[in-house]
Amino acid sequence: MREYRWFDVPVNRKILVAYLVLAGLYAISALISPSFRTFVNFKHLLLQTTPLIIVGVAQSLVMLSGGVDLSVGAIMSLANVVAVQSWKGMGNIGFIYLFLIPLGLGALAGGINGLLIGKRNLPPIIVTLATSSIFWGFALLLMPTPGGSMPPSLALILAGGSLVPTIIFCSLVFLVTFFLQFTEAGRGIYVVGSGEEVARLLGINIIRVKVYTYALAGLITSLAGIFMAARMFSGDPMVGQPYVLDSMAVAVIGGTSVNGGEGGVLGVIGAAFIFNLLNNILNMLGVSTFYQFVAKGIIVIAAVAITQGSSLIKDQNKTLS
Amino acid sequence: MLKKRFYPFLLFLLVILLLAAELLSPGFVRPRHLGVVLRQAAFLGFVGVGQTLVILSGGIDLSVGSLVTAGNIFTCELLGRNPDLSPPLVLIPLLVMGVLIGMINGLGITMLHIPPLIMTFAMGSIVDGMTLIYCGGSAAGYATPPIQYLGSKLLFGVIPVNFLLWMVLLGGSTFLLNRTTFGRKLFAVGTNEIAAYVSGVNVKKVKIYTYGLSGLCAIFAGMILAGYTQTGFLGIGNEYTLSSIAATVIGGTAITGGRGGEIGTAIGALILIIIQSILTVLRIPESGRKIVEGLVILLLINAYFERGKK
Repeated sequence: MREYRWFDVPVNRKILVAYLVLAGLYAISALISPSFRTFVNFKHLLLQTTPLIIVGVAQSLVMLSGGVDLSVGAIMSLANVVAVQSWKGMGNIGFIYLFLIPLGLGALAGGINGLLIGKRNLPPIIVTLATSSIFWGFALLLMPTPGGSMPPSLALILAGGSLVPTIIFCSLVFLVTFFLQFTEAGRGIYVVGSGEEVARLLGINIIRVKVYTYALAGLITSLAGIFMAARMFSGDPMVGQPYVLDSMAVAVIGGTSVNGGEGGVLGVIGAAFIFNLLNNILNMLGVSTFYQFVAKGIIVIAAVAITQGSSLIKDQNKTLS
Repeated sequence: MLKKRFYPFLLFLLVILLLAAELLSPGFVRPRHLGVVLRQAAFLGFVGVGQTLVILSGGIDLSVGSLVTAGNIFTCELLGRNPDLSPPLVLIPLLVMGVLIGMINGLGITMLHIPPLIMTFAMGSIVDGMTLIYCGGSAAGYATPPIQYLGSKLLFGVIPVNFLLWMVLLGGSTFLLNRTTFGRKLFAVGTNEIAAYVSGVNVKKVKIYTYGLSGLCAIFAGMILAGYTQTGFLGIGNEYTLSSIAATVIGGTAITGGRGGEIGTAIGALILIIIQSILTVLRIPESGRKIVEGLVILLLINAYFERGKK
C-alpha cells in the first residue's frame, strides 16, 4: 500500500458543489432576511446543525463501507436517555459516567449491528431496521416519556454557546478524515466499500472492518444523543427519530456514494448546514411548519439531484475520454 | 435463498404462532377473533403488495406510510364534506393521486438518479406536508357507510370484507408478476439492471410503473383503513413503512431484488400481525413490543440466510 499524504485528501467535486450550494443559499438568505443576519440566529443555526453533522459523519462512515445504518436514530435516542438516567443515578459523582455509559452503549449497539452484518452476512437495511426497533424498545423502557434533567453547568458548557459545538464537530470531522485517510483501518473501510471480493483478495478481514465501522458509527451517534440531552436539558426517547433519514440525505449531499467506497466526511458540515439553513430561512419568513415538510422533501430531492448530477457529468466525461 | 420448502416452513411458523397464541390467551383461534386478526392484517397486506413489487425491482419505498396516512385523512375529509356524492367519484381521484406520487418517486429515481431510500423518504415528507396543509393540522370528517363496509364489515361475522379485497389484490399482483411480460421484466430489472437494459428492457419505464403501483396500494390501504377507523388519524400510517418492509423480507423476498413473491409477503404480514396481537393481549408495553418485533425479524432473517448458505 502506498503512503497517503495530506494533499491526497479527496476534496472531490461533490463536496465542492455542496459548499457552493451552501454559500449561495447563505448569501440569498442574508439578503432577503435581516433577522437571518443576526448573531443570535447564527448561534441558533449552529446549535441546531451540530447533532445533524455528528450523525451525518456516522452515517457517512457506514455508507463508505457499502452499508447503511437505519438504527442511528435509535442509538441516538438510547444514548440520550441513558445519559440523562445515568446522571440521575450517579448524582454529582457521575459526570464522567454521563459520557462513558452512553458512548460505551453506542459502540456496543453499533458493534452488534456490525457483527450481524459482517459475520452473518445479512443485509444492512434489514439488520439495522430490526436492531433499531430493539434499541428503541430499550430507550422507551428506560424512559417512556420525555423528562429527566441534565447538570446545568455541563449543559451550558456543551450547548450553551456556539464555540464548543463548533469545536466538537470540527474536531470530529477532522479526526474522522484523518482516520479514513491515514490509518490502515480507515483505508480498509474504503476497500470493503469498493468491493468485498477485492477486499477479500487483498487479505482484509471484512468482518473486522464492518464491526469497527458500525461500532465507530454507534459511538459517534451517541455523542449526538448526549449533545441533544445537554441542549434540551432533558431526555427524550424519540429524539433521534428525524435523524435516521436526515443523516442519509446529509451523507449523500456531502459527497458519499450510497454504493460505498467513494466520498468522505468533509462535505458533511456543508450538507448539514444546507439542510438546516432552508428550515431556518423558512422559519424567518414565517412559513407554516406544514409547508416546511413539503419544503424539506423538495430540498432533499433537489440537493441530492444536484450533487448526483455533478457526478454523472464526471462519469460521462470518463467514458468519453 | 428461497428454497422449495420455504412456503411450508412459513405456514408451519404461522401454525406454531397460532398455537402459542391460543395457549397464551385461550379463545385466540375462535373464528370470530381470527376474522378480527385477518381484518387487521389486510391493511398491512395491501401495503405489502406494493412494497414487494418495489423490493423485487431492486428498490425500496419509504413513502408508503405517509401515503397511507394521506389516504386515510383525504378519504375522511372528502367524504365528510361531500356525503351526497357517490364514493367512487371522490375516491378515484385519490387513487390517481397515489399512482402519480408513486410515479414521481420512480421518475426521481430513474431520471435524477436519486437513491430510492432518499427519494421515497423525501416524498414521504412532501406527502405528510400536503396532508397537513389540506386538513389544517387536525383531522376532520368521517367515513361514510360504504367505506365502513369495505373497511370493517365481517361477513357472516367471520370473513372480513377487506380480507377479500386483499385476496383480489394478491391474486392480481401474483398474476402480474408471473403471467405478464411486465412481471417478467420486473424480475429481470431486480436481478440485474444492466443485463435487463442490454436485453432491451426499458428499465426506467418498469421502475416508474412499479413505484406507481406501490403508491396505488398504499393510498388504497389508507382509504380502506378510513372505513375501519371511521375518522381520520394523523400519523396512522407511520408504522406501515417499516412493517411492510419487514413483512416482505420475512416472506422471503430478497432485499436486493429479483427473488421472492407476493404470497410470502402475505404470510409475513399475517405473522407480524399475529405477533403484535399476542403482545397486545399480554399487555406488553410499547417498549417490550418493539424489542420483541426486532428480535423476531432478526431471528427469522438469520434463519433464512443460514438455510440459503448451505
